[in-house]
Amino acid sequence: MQITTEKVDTTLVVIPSGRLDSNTAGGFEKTVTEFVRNGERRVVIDLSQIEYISSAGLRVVLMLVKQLKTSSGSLVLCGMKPSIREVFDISGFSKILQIRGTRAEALAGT
Amino acid sequence: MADEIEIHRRIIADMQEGVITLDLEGHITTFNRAAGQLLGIDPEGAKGLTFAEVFFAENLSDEFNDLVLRAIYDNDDDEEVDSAEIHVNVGGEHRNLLVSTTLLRDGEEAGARKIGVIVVFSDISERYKRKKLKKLFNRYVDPRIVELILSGGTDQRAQRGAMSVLFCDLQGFTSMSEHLAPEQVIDLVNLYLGQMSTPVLDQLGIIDKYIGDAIMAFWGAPFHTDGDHARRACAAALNQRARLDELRAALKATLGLDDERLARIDIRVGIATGDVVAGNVGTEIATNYTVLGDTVNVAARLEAANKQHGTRILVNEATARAVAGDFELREVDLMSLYGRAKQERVYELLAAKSSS
Repeated sequence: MQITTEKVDTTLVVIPSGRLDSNTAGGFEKTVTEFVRNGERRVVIDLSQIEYISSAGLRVVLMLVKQLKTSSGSLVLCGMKPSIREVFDISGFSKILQIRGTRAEALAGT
Repeated sequence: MADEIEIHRRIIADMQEGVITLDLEGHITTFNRAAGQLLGIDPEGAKGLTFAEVFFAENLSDEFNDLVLRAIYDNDDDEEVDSAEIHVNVGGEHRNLLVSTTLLRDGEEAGARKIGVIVVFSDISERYKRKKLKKLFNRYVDPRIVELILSGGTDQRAQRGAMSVLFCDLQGFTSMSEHLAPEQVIDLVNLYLGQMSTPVLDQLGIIDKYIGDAIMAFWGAPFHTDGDHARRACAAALNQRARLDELRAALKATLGLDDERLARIDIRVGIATGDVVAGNVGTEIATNYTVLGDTVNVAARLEAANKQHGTRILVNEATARAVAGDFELREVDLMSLYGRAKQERVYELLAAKSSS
């Protein structure tokens, strides 16, 4: 899995691509944990390049939101394809996470 | 209408299977008692919460969660049910669940509105354990004996009946093994047992046990009902001999034995037909289903007697009488077998009669 980042003002935009499943979740977790440890507090994850997310991927997102909460940071997700959005909705994650349509909306909300 | 919904609700509540339903926003709308028991979650506490809150907070298996996600991903195919056997750990107890998930729609027609996800699961731990045990068991015990034991067929303590018993031995094994490295001895025995067991199984015989380099096999009730046991035992013995070249080739390839040693590789077989007692023999520590009786001793003695007679397959009189129409036999000797007052005729099994 490829992970690219962009810094917009004080917000870090993380753009993973491909499949976020049990094979790739470990690497993704390590990368984002490192960002938080290095002081990033406002994070946007742009999921527009993600084709598939499994429970393992959702767990990383959940872990990250908790981590940022304890350090008074914030996490916003954006750019989901309809099938990915449906997974977040029907599993109830949309209720407990901040999700925006576009990256611009996400950046406005962090 | 209201009554009908109430009836459905009660049916689901009392079902043996765990049932969970989610609406489109991930709220848990059904969580029956069985689901609570199987997953170790309080149903009252779960209702109204979201799937994410309940199933990702608990350290429940991701296998379970992924199956639920799969139902959501699969939403193009209508009526698609995803099923899998998964493991869960509930309070330290390991369970195997068969879980099915599907996306619910409010109609049959294509493009009907989605209304949520239904998850149905049941505990298959016992079935799973049984399956695993059977698989493990089958490596050590003939599958038909496993079947008999599992079906309770060996509960009757013992049975007596006419059977044919075969002993097969590798000639000169002891002296040969002295010149081989330990791993080579094991390779040698395994190759030999593999080659020589196949003809027994081809003739539907039961491998009773391996005793070092000896194979003990039998044919008879309750596994064979055709009364054909002597003929099958003889066919197996001739087939074992027919496989010697194949065995030698395998030994050459694997162990690099030289031609002189390979030429000395041979087998001896003894077959006896007669009354045996079949049943579970052993102590509380170890039991096995086997056959006992004079016939077993005779078969073992005949196998050894090949040495004195320079023969390869010896059979007792009862075997010879039973197969005289099908096989070429040669009377070899009158033998006194210990423990028996009367001398018995012994025959060499030569070949199958060509059907004319």
